[in-house]
Amino acid sequence: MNDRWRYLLERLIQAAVCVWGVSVIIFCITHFIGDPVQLLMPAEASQADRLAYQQALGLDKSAFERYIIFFANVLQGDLGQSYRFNTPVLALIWDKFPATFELAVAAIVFAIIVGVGSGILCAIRPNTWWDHCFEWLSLSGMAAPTFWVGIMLIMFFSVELRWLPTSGRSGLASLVLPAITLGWYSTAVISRMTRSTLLETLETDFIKTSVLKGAPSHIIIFKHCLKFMLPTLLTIISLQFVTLLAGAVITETIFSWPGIGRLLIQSAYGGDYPVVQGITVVCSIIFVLIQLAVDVVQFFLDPRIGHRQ
Amino acid sequence: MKFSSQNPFAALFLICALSLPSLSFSAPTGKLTVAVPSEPATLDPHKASNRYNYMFNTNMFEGLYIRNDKAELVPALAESVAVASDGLTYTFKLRKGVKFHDGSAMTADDVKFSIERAINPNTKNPLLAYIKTIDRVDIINADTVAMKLKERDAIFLKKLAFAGWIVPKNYIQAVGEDGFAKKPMGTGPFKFVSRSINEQIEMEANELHWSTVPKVKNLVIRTVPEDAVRLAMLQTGEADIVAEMPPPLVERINALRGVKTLSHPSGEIYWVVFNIKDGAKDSPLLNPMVRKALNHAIDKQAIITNVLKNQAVQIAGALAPSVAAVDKNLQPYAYNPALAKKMLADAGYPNGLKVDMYSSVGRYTLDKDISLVIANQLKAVGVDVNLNLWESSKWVGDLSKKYYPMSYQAFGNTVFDPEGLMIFGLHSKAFWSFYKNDAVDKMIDDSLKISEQKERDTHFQKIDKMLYDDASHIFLWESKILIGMRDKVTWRPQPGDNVYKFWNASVDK
Repeated sequence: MNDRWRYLLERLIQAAVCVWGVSVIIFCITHFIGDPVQLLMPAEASQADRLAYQQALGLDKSAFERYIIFFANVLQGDLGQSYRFNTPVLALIWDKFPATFELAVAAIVFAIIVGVGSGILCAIRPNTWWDHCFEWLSLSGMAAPTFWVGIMLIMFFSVELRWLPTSGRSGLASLVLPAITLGWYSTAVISRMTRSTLLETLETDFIKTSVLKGAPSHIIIFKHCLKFMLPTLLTIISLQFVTLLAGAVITETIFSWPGIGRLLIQSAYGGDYPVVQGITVVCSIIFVLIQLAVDVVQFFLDPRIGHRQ
Repeated sequence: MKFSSQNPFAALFLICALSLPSLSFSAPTGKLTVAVPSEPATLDPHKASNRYNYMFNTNMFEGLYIRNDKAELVPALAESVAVASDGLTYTFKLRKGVKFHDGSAMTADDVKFSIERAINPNTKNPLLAYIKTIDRVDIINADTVAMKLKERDAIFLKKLAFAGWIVPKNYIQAVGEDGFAKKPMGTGPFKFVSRSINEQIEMEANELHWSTVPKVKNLVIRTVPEDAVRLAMLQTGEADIVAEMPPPLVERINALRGVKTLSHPSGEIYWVVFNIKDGAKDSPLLNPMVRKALNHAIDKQAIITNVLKNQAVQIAGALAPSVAAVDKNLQPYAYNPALAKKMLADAGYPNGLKVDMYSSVGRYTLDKDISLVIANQLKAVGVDVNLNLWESSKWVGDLSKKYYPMSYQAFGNTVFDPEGLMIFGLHSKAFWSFYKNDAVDKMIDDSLKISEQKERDTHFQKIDKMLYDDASHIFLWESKILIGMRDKVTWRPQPGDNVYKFWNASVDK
């Protein structure tokens, strides 16, 4: 086995260790937050009822014992049973994941189109009013908190103009505002990174050569530069996609978007820890898989990767 | 009309059908969209414990007795009940001609099945505590069912109206437990159409209902946690009714065109709880004089006016006026910081005292703001409050493990009787009680045997007076629930809780 394949194998093992680490951390956090029985039982329940309920949920066992059971079940693809919904956690996630995926994809598409587009425009006309305008917009995009952006968009597009619905998930129109809100930050990041990477690329010798050879500028930008920038952009975008899944918690709450972000926060508040653990584990697997996929793609795009110096 | 008199000396006491809702004959039309901040967990009424479940249940299902849309206790799937002289047997005469949403008839079999399901420990019914006195259910004949209790329960019917939902036996056996939770069916004024978790529940008028066919054809209950977004939905017309709006928004809602605000008593009382039960060995709060001083130190009306924007009513003791017959002669402790200081000095704290207070953030309306104001007002009389503000699930989770000398809390209403508050919020044996007073404990124990309503009322007033005299808590207010509603909707929420009934709501075109 040569260095390159050993590198890939190492990444795979790292990914597995990472997911396992997350499962331990989230288990500890939910354990230390406190006893979910108080949150799940009405005030009228007696101490005996509480103990019985605790037993029924298996919470009377020690934390270590519970973790072993939890982890053994996870390995068999069983994430446990939701305390509040009385349904398997995996089924709940399966039910809610498409909404989050749809939102995240719409947000990343928005971020790529607007981010890469504006980044290119800024890079080919650096330090013009146009560039400064976008710089200012990107900075405000990075600084503005998601919940504020979301509420402002609702106020303007739903309440003032009545163009789009305020919330919910009912067709394409309802996807627009949450996707922009969620993609807002990533758009700014992608735009800035595209601009600086493209400016750097324009300074490289091979681009200068093609300029001197008289190649048309659109060929230089879109064919030569973008191809060269692709690995960098891919890394940024994939990292942003991962942030989007995390950002979905807030965006989904604002827009009443029925995805796993809402489910997560609601379960955390409601003491439904199997759901919190399940979503965290599933999300960490997705994160790790995306990173791994990017590494694999990079691996094939860039023959230098994996060779030991 | 008042119900619930059970005379233990009479051989048999018959209660007839009272105040039936009038029959409506016009076909239901229009769609009513209601936006609420949270939602039911499971839709199975025997497995559900949160307030949004109760709202769903009350529109979908019925019990033998129910609370109607004026919060009155009325017979529903029963026509009447006879209570045996020992108070242990309740014989219900079932209503004829009641149909489940699929058209099948509701029978004595369904009643037996439902109650047995609700009290079966394997069902894990979170509301079991309300009806666990039921020992068994017997079918006497096709339209008579008897429930035998293990022990007397003075307010059994009030509890049955809260937890005794009747569900279809054949349907559940055919579709299974999970199938039923996914597509529930009952006899209520609305029938189930669809549900998407964290999104909405759709219901439709049940035109087969035995008495109350709703005025609206479609009822959509949407889950929208953000207050600002619920407000926006009211503005755009995406929602007709938005519930549980934060009090500071009252002026903004009133300023909108085509929209009005409603506000009704919630049945929930707010107080500062002193822990004088566990771990309170050397606490200055053990001294009633200190507790009285603290009551005088809080300007409750100022908090109600300025923080709660009048969405609360001051109370003198622990009873909520919308739930109990409150003694009007009991006057709230007056705001008097000078007197508070003097009382503290008399109690042996001329230089003030130090106390830890633990409050949740996000569990109760404006809990953080109110706790801060309270802490500041106490500081003004020399009580140095070390305020700990905790995220709400942490705060609740540690309630039984950690000693909170003082905390800002609320106690809600479920069965429209002070019993719950007494047993679960004040009796020294209760989980949620941090108060210990043997005389009060005994009075509470005695109250369990009193079923006659007038007698109950005076008895609870006596307890309330004892609490007041002992300054068991800092008594604050009964909150109100703020609702925004579009002008085209005609509807009134019932006082005492947020278990909203929508069968008499109508929407103009």
